[in-house]
Amino acid sequence: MDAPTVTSLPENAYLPLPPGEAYRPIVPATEAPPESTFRAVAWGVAFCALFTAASAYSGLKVGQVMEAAIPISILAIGMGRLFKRRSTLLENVIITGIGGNSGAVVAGAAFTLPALYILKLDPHPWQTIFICLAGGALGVLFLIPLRRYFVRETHGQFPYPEATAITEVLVTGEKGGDQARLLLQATGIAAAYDFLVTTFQAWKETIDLRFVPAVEALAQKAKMTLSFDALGFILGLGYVMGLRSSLLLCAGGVLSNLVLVPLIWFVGSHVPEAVYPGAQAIGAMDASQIFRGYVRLIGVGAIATAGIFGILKSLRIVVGSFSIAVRAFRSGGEHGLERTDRDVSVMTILAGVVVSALAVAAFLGDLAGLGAVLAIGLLLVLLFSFFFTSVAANAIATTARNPVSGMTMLTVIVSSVVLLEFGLSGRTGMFFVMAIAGMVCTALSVSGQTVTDLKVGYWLGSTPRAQERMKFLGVLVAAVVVGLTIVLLARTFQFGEAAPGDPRAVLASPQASLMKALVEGFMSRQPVPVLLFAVGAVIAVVMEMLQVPALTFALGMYLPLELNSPALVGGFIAHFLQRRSEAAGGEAGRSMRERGVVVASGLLAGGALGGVFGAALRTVPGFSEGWVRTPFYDVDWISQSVSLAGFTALCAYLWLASVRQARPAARAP
Amino acid sequence: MALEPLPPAGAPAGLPENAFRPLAPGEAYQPVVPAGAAPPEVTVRSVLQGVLWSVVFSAAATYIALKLGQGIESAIPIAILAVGVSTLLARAARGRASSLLENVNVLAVGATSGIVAGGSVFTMPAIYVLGLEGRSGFLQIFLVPLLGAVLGVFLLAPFRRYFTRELHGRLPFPEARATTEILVAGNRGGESALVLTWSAATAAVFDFVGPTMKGFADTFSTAAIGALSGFTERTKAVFSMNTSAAIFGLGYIMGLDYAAIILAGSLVSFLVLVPLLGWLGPHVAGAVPPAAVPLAAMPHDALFAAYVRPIGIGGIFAAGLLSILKMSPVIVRAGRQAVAEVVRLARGGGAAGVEERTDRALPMALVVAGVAATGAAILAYFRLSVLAGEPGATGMALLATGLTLAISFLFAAVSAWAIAMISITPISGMTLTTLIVTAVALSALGLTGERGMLQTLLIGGVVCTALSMSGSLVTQYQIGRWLGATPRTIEIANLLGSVVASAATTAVILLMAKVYGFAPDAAHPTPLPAPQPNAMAAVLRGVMGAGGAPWFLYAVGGVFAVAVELCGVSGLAFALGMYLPMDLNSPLVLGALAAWLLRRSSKDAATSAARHERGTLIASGFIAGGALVGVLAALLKFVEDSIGVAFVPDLTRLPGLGPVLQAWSNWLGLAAFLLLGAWVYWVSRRAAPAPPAA
Repeated sequence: MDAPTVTSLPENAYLPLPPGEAYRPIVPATEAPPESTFRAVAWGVAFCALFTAASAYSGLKVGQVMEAAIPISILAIGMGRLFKRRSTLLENVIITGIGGNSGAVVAGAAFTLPALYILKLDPHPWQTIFICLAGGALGVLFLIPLRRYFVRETHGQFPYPEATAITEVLVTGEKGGDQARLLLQATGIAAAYDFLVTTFQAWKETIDLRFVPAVEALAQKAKMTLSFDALGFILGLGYVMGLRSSLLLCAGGVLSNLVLVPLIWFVGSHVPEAVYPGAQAIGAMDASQIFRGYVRLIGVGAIATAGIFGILKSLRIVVGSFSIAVRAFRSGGEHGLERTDRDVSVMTILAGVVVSALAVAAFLGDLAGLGAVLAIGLLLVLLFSFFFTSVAANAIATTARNPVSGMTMLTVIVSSVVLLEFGLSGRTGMFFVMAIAGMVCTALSVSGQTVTDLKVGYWLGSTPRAQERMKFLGVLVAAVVVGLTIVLLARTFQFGEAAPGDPRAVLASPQASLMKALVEGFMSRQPVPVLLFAVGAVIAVVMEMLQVPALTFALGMYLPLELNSPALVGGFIAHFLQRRSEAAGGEAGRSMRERGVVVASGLLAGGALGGVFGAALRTVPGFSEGWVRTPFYDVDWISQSVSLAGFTALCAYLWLASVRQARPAARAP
Repeated sequence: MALEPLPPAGAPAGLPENAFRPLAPGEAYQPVVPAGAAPPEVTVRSVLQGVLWSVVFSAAATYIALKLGQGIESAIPIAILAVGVSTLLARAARGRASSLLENVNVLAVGATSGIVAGGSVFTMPAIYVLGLEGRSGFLQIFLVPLLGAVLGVFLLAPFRRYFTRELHGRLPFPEARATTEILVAGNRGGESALVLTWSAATAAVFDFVGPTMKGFADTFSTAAIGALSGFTERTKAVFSMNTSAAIFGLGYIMGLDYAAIILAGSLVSFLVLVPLLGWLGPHVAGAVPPAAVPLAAMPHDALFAAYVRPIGIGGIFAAGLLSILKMSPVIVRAGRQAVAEVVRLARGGGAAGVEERTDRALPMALVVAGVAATGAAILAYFRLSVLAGEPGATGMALLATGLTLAISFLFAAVSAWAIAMISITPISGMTLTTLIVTAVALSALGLTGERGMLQTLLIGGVVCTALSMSGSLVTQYQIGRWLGATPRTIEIANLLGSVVASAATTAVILLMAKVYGFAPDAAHPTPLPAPQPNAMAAVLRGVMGAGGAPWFLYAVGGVFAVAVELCGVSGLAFALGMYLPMDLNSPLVLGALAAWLLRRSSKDAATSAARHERGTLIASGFIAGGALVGVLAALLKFVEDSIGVAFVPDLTRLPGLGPVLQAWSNWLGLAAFLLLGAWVYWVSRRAAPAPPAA
């Protein structure tokens, strides 16, 4: 069979639709090319297993989970060309969808499961697998009803940076020609640059200008620090996010880092002892310690509150989605809906939730016996997973970042406090809480990945039902692999800090160490920093009052500033390119916009690939960052200036490559 | 800022069809009163009315600006009142109805009030905040806005033709349009004036019985609720709401978007920053400057005053500068056009042919002489009064005068443009810029300390008034152009109005300084907030005064305003909200909510609009009535303090009823206020749209 002629995405792919206009995907609803074929599923599973194992190791060692979906989409394009029949666009979506689960499930697991080992609770392999599996399944199940709202109804309102990059890779790769070369070029440049900078000591990755005496004085005396993570990945991310979202993100970061941190220091530096939840006197802390110790918690409160607003806003459409499904079920099948709007049936979702809930109940009952504790635990798992699903979908759709650690932290704290009330404590209690947190955390990160996947499918014309079914398969594979990998690693290594008398090598697993500290603290009746959360909640309410998207702002408050500031540069480039293309108008303007998205997606993809290479290289025994090291690496002013020059060059490349007109010959249809 | 022709939508009945569109080549605009006709224009009744409204609205505007940092709209209510008086004279007193041009004259004299008050109130109270009142006095505070207003008139006069004739139909002039419509539709004016009057009376009674006679609490506060005292003590988080009809009216006019931004600022101050300080407080043993007592010993409002207010000041300052930055294309354009126009006029391009009545202005020679005379007056005043005895006084006075004239010229053009386009002008931003430029220039010449600060403030006051004056004058020129008034009369009326308004404003400022003060000190523990003067004072103290300014908090506030601007929200409104106490901000939202609900109260757009308009009238009445009673209360207090006898009845002293009122005053205040809001909604809902004109 011939592959259908692939064209570009329609003009209205990234724009809100005027009333009455419908978005027509590349593969129209009336066609049904091969989608969930054996080939697609097999490759998807293989990639999933591979990336899960690698990602688990890298996550435990350096706390960094690989960005899997974009690299897998590139691999899928490459693999597709090896076969006699080239893979269809929709098969590639399935491969990416299954494979993409790896990073999501690992993120959930790596944040929580090692804590069980650090606490010497030694879980059985089937327990680690079950936690990941149950969480992942809940994440997919709860997201499906939200699909119509996040993917269809709000079309054009969310930038979906990661999904944009995947879609551009798939479409451009399939189409070939001039734009494919451009994509490849951008990917190569960003991959090389980001790999070099993040893996080795070529020059500083983060620019903070503290070699300038005035800036250093500001950082010392006022705890006002500006930092800037000069990476191609974040530049591309900011471009795709657009100016408005990146401005909001930055505004949140400015409030946290340049208002709240200095303010807390202003008063706190007069305090002789440590102020809970910090561990040392504020006067002795630097800006980033104050940020992590206090201000981040304010951000967590803001995110959670913004999430509640998000649920309220999407409620109407979610209910509508259910009623469509119920009506379709009554009238026998979903023949009324087009192929590209068909979900897994509502009965399957309900059955899935019931089965998952029973399984979770059985699992928790095995830990703590029957009774109130079991019911409360089950309730917490379901409530938090449901609630965070919307948060994750919104966050991923706007900024491509998921506040996993903050939400897990919130889960640990609330669960500890509630379960303590019901008399659960000690080792069982800690295991119980960490199991809940593990499931919620996995659900959160899987649902974020799923919404990306569904948006890609929406743009290209996949069948949601096929994608959703394959998602469960992906979760199963990833859960088994990550569960076994962690058990395996736990035999040869020790997590967290070296225990006295244990000669095994140490895997740092930074996030899990944090969670372990939290669960220990709160299970021993440590006070909860309610005030910081509440203050964050007020900020979210204020932002809603100002009609500013509260979740984006809250994410900006919570994420480190250095990850937000480069996105702003990308946002500005997108803004000015848009103006330039409007001035140019017509075909020339359209070409500029298309090329801009292609180059930015290439930078995103390249950054992700560079990260994967780096992570892979770190698993080589004897690896050291000093393998590549310039003599000026430690000389801050040179090192940061070079970094700044490199980033400026990337910006210039993004601009020039977009503005440059394609050769007339290549533009022929 | 494109000069696109505006759609001729909604040209009101009574105005020629070409009033709101650019004219075709060769086409002439024929005003409502043609140049050939000369109905009574300047009469005893028009001047008397103008002077009366000028005094009334100057007092009200001064009070509102000192209390809430907001300017109020005076042109529209004065137009309504002028029409109302005319109807009254015609019907009740069986006299002659005022002519259209007489009403324009009333407006020209009266509307100066808001302008002069704005210019003066934004700067002059800073003299008290800085503690310089010993070096100043009534004459100085009176002269500054007067000189500024006169300068504003003379500086804008050469541009009249450009703005009203050459750009005919190309600038929207929102405020001039609304006022003209009221004046033309005089027949309905009688009813409107009646609504305005009784709503002002209602607000006056309401705002007098509550705060002054202590009938109910003037502020509802969660801190006064016994059941919440533990929570308040622990978290320092308090919600409070003033129960003033004037603020309700202001919120109604302001609209929900803007009111929400201001309240958002307050929420951040009182529910985010103050609780954060309260949380750190118990850990701190000693006092943290700028406060003198330990944090743990401070109640929530003391924490606010000591730490959060300076953050708000920093925010106001940064947002003011940002607003100038955002206006920079307009500034450049307006400046360029102003210079070009001056060059053209100097070459004799202005006077062409025989002057019609509707094009007859003060002669150019007189205008030039006027600017020169004002400049000379300013120079003499600086040299002989302010800087007397200073080494190098002549040079400094020359520099100061030059700065005043140059900055006034530039900003007058900008302000006229801004008013014509959007009816808003960034007065506080332009004034702050003036202060900084002046302070830096004078410091470079070695003039610092108290004299330097005073000198800078006086320059700022002149510039501030001049630029607000030009914004108001351009509106009146346009009204006159549409209706056919004589420009010269408008100019003279404005000069007269400036004198009256300067005197009234200065009197109110001095009264308020005496009774309430503008910055906390021993004699005045709870001063009027006066946000802009405090921001100006902070700048001056920083640049010219001795150290000790809470720089750190200012800086944090500046960064905060930038973050808010990044979100696409007005940083100035937000920072104003952060600075003002929450109780003054929360009622704004209630008023705005009433407006929002009325606008959506009916499916029929005309009905909703009529209801909303009725509400607007009531709200305007509330502002004027409430503000006047506020001034009256201050006056009574002043008299009481002077003669040592309390004669205002205190309801809480009543036997029997008194203790009940006292015990329930918090809740009574809330209930009375909510009832007032519901009543406004109910009364406005009954308004019906006007029958379509035949």
